Amino acid sequence: MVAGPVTAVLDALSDGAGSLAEVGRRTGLRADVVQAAAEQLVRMGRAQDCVLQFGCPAKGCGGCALSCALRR
Amino acid sequence: MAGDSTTVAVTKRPGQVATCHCAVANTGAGPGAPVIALIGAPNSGKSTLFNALTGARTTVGNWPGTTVEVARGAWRERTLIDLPGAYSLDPLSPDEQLTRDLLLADPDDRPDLVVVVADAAHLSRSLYLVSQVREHPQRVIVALTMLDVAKRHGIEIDTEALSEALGCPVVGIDPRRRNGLGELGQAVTAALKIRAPHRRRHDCCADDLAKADERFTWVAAAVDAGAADPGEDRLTFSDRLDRVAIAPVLGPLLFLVVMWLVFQVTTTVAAPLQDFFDGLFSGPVTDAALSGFAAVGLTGSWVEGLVVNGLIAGVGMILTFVPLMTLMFILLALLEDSGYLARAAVVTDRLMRAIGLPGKAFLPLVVGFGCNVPAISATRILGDSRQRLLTALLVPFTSCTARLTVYVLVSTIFFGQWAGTVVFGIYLTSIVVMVAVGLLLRRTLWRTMGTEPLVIDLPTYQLPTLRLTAAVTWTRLQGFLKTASGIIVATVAAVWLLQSIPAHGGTFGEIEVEDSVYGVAAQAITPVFEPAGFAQWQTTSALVVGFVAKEAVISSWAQTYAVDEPEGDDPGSLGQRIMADFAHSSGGHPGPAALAFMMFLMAYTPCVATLGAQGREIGWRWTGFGIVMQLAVAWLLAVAVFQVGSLWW
Repeated sequence: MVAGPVTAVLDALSDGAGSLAEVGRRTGLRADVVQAAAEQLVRMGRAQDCVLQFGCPAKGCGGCALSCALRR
Repeated sequence: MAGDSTTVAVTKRPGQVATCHCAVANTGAGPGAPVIALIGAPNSGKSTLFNALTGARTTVGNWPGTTVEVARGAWRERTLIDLPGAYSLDPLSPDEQLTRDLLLADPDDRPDLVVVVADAAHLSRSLYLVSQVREHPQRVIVALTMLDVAKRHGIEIDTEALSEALGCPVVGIDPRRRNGLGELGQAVTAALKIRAPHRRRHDCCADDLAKADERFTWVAAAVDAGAADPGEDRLTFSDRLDRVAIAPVLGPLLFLVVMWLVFQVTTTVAAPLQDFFDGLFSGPVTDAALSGFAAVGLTGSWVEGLVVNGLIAGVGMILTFVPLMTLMFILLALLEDSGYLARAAVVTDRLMRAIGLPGKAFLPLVVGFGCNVPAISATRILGDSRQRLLTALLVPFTSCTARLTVYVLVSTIFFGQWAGTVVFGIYLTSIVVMVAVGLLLRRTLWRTMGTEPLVIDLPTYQLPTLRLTAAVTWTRLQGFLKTASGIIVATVAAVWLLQSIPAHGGTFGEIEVEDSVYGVAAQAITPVFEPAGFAQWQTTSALVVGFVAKEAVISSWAQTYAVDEPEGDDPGSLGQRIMADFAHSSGGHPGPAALAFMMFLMAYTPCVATLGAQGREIGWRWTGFGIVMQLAVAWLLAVAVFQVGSLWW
């Protein structure tokens, strides 16, 4: 059975795709669908969306990638 | 077209069901008028459409979630309600819960028609909500906004084909320019005259992922039918820049150039300001303090020594780096805000993957370039304990901003106009050392370690904003000033105390530093650094103090040379005296010795706070292993650099 778009994106991420563009290449899905499916995975709690920064963010503790990742 | 409108907050008591027909029935077009609900994701143009149709003045912003209240107004003979922004009918917030409750209430209380406002530039995301609404027996119309933006991205939409695929009318509109509102009104009138269409079948599965798959399959089919794929032919500005920024060869080269520019600009532009502050602390501030102590009869006292040779010389020297750090933080903030940092991350992440380091370990390693302490804590994001351990051992090799101050001081003294390039080279070396040690540990201690994925999404390039850049810079500068006013002041006091205690007899505070506990202890370890070319107690003692915090290397030097002034009228500047000692200890090769010193500084234990974090995260046994490993790597690197460098230079 062929995996649906969300599962395909999740599988590509789990297999080490390093960017959404790479997920698109691996799954053959349109960039728009990949983006929306990735956002859906974040909403479902199956992936995380973090801001990448060298230091502490202006908005204070809890806003950096570290805090974001630790909240999982 | 426009009518009257009111904005009301819909509140629910526990157990009460929110409806579209009862709570605010006295507003809008009046009792009995058909109720039209506007729903859509935040920023889809929903509130703008509501304002255009009703003439209302509700909040229209560019931030997600601005529609936090239910606005209700009259649109011709209909009542129009503007429901809170929602990406889906799976509520994650009270706003989304309210939208779901209002839409899926009892059939008698539901709106008569739902207009889903969909962003044409993000069609798949927008149509997910349509797929969910179509699972219920509702009259639905899709109002497509942002068609101009979609067109710029090369997305051409066939509304008829899309309508057929979705099973409901689709109308293209531009609420800002009032385009398409007439057609929308006609579609609403027509839809209200017929019964609600059959709902879309969605009884395939119980699992959330399978449900989302089914919906997205339906969405993807609709998008394929109704929207031309821009494909690779229509590249945005960001796409074109990324052809270079994340290219396999050009990407790393560009990253190196950008980082070289950062260091070059930082060191050259900040130098005059740094000199100004240096002159300020060693001149007027010191003179004022000396005059003050003379006025109260404390000339030559230990208090004067602590304040003048300790606090003003030591802490003052660190404060001269405020302009440099400010400039560095500004440049890094600009890179972050512009979107380039994410590209740099992709480039370096690719390198780490290529050599087998866990992809997700990249995150703490990036944080480490700011400060090693949170970076050690960041290793918690790694699920595998061996990955956490390896990454925690590698973090100290990422060169934190505290070390930058020492690099800049030494590079400026020894390499003048090439200081920026030398500092850049040290940073580059720190990456190489980190990767080499990582590979060595993986091939010896952790051969079977797996990998954890990390996805770096690339934001669109944008012009950095002044507000965000200033805020980020200030936050980071505060951290630097906090260290200078806390840890460094305490360290300066401790160093002053040790420099005042005689090692072999004498009076407290009235001895040469060389004869103090501080000087004698430093002399005992100094021979270890002879092969590295900087075997002098003034520098080795500073390295020991550097265990507390790397900025303390500078304050320690400044204190030692301030107290230990040679005979004569002009003892020379701090830089001249450091240069003279390096020339002496290296046998006439001060350049290679200075490089060797910076290599040692880059690789040995960062600070006690990092050790504390390591002890907490990986235990003290591995922390001890890390200390020995870092000292060994640092010493070998320093010796190699000096021995090779002194052959030619």
